[in-house]
Amino acid sequence: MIDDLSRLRNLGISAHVDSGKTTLSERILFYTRRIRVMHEVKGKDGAGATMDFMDLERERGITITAAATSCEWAGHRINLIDTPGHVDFTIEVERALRVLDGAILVLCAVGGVQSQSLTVDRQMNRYRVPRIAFVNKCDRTGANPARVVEQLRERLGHDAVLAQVPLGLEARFEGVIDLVRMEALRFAGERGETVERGPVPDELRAECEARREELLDRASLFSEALTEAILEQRVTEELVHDAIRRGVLARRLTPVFVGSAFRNKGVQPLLDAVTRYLPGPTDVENVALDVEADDAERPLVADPSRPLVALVFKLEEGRYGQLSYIRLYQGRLARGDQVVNARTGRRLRVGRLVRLHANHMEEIDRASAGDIVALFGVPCESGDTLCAEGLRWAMTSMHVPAPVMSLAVTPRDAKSRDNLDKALARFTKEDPTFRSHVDPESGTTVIQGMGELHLEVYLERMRREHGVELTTGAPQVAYRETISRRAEFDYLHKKQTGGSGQYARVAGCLEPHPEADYEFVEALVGSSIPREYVPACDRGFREAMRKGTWIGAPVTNLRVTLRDGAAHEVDSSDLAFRQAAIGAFREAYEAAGPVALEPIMRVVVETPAEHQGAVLGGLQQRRGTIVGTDEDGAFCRVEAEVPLAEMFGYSTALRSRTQGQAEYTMEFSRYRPVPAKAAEELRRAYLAARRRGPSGTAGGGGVAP
Amino acid sequence: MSDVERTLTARSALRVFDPPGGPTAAAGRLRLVAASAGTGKTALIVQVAIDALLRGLPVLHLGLAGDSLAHLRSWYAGVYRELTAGLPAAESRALWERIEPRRLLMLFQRGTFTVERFLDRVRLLEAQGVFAPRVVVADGFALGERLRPEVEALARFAAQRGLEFWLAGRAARENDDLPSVVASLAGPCDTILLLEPEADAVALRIVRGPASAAATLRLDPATLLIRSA
Repeated sequence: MIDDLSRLRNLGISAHVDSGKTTLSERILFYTRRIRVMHEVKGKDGAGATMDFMDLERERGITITAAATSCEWAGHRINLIDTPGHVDFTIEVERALRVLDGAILVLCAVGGVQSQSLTVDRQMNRYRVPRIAFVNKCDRTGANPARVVEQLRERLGHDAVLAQVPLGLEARFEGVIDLVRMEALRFAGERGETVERGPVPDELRAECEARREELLDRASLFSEALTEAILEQRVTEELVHDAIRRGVLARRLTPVFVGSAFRNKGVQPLLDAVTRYLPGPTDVENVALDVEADDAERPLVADPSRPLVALVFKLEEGRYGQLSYIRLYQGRLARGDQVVNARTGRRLRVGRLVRLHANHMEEIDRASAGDIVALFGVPCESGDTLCAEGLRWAMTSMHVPAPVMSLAVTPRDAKSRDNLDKALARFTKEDPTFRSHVDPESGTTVIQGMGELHLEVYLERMRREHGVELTTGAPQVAYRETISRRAEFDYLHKKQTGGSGQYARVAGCLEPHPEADYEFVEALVGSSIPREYVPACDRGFREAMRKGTWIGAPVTNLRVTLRDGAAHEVDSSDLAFRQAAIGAFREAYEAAGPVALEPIMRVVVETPAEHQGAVLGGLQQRRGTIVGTDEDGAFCRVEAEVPLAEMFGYSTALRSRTQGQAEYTMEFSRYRPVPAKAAEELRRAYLAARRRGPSGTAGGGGVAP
Repeated sequence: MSDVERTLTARSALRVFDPPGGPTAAAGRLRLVAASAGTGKTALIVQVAIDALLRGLPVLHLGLAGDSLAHLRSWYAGVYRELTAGLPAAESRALWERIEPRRLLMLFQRGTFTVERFLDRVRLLEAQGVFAPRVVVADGFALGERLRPEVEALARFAAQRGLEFWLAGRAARENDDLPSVVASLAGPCDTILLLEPEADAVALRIVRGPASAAATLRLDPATLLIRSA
């Protein structure tokens, strides 16, 4: 355990897919002596990089789940979280960012700032994560770190400045020049483990001096001492490091480092920068909400002597039960301690406590404020806060996007049927953007997620890890319904079928409510409906909204005002008012002008400029609205809004239109009315399915509100 | 055009620039807006664009100022919010949803813009059936004698296509005298506006164009919206 919290770094590595971050993580683990052998992502040895610990990740050469691992460098402990780069798995990135104190933004020296970098950067801003940048792949043809720095400034709005200059580029990339010490670093030995320091080559001296001046100029904005020292020409290394660190902590300066993780060049100085410039737990402000004091904000202090507050940020079902990754914000935690889950109020006993190293783990006795560790067998969910007894503080909730795509799945055999529930329970617990439910009418299991790839990965994991073979339907878009005008209702529910009857009358109106999914307004005058039945009315309307009668999708953006009604002394009940509310909703719904809504995705395509026409045409064919184009050198970024329903198979189409040279990302933007013709088709399909029997749904059962 | 769109465009101070034949008669004309940095060029250009969107015209926004698409979109959102401040939120949002798809942003980062490339891109958009602009607003030009061939080419393009074309920029060199700079570019321009900071506003000096508006227009220093004095 590190007692000096200033020597602890909770570090994330975030970047565009294929920018080399997994290779970088692997090299960090090698140089910090956590592993003895280096593997490559998709390497010839077939072993895969250490952080890509799932078979599937090894096979596809991508990182799906964030793996935590701990290592040491220059007297500092670094808890390293490797985060996935594909937008379909952004919840993993967001979770990791929630518990990080700082991050390395990895960029490709050739591709530069790409669409995924923008998404990741936005996420880092949301969680106020200070970062340094690493321009990787300087050995590749077309590498241009200076251009990447420009892009960081122009596209991401960073005050980015080179802290190193590459020593050669492309095939002649030899090492880096440290602009603070003004010395050249070369990486000798079979795996670059020996850092050789030498003078700046003459041919690079002028450029390095100009770059150093720029670095000092930017850094001096954060340190008066450095400003004075520059004027008096007595600049020291410490003054420069201190000024850069201040700028980084304020998130107003991004020092940029260069290298090639694959060629084992530039990783050790990057680790030095992590320890020098990125914050420790005591440098970052965190707050919790006091559940027992109306969610009043309580500042957290990274002090082991304070009562424990820890956030569960990730769950994994392992061979020995549930593994819960936690970040301790204050206090300490030891084996055998009792803690309270702030959400449920339940007491929990801490059994095994482990520190993680990719898929290996090390048993520990205790952990302290600032640390990231994992617990075994503690019943909790991702996002829960664990506190010391006597405290019920919850960390601010994480932003969880709603799923936009669903898929009906049917087990192929009895074994698969038996294991399906277990697999779904595990994955939905691990990943809040992955959900499942059973369609009440068809009895079919429906899984929901953030896109095609997201769902494909879970299907594959169900097969490999739980032996679940599934037949899948066509992926369905999560449509919604809403209303376009106000409509009144006055509905009497009356049943007399022997025994006690049912009697309830409700009157009021439905209105469009763009500001919220649903609002129930009780505007009763007098006691036309006894107060105790009002919640049942609310429940009835909510129930009716789960499945609209226009296309069979959940209803959203609606306000219900209950103004009048009637009750019977004997025959009224919660059930009767709930039924009355459902009847009233259906009565008024068609008069309220129902409209089908579809999810619109923000699609960003990065393409060589010569394929711009093909990309624009392709998006246009998919009912896309082009928001804009942004040309920079030979590359062009096309941004569009496209209905999700039109995005199936887009990866393949884009590859063939651009000879595999373009790539895209997409994320949910908003719901928008479906154009008239497509809406008619949805309506026809819904009515036909309803006539056929109990399976007529939109979006494979849609997404429950 | 809905009643809201009609009301918003009718009350816009920009009507002062409409030729006697009404706003549509502005087609084929080039209008130049010159100012020093931070005076309100982008706000003015975005107002012009939103006014055209409200009139139902497809607008192409050409940006050379090193902006990102997201940054430019936020400019539009901000100016639109100010322009529709009196409207109920739901109505304002519905109107924006309706008019925003009529706009396309086209950015060229430093050093990648040439008139020829721009014209190629417009032709490409038209050929693909993606977008056919009726109004172009262009921002971020470095104004000076050397820009004259480009301004002339853009004016020819506007005339051939019947486009209403607004071009905004600042002096290529910081110490250049703006009136002299615009004088060097005056030939192809139908209207020339200079933005000049005053104590409590920004004045729009009309160097060429409807003289009647000369002393009456200001940019509000808080919102940078154009208003009649």
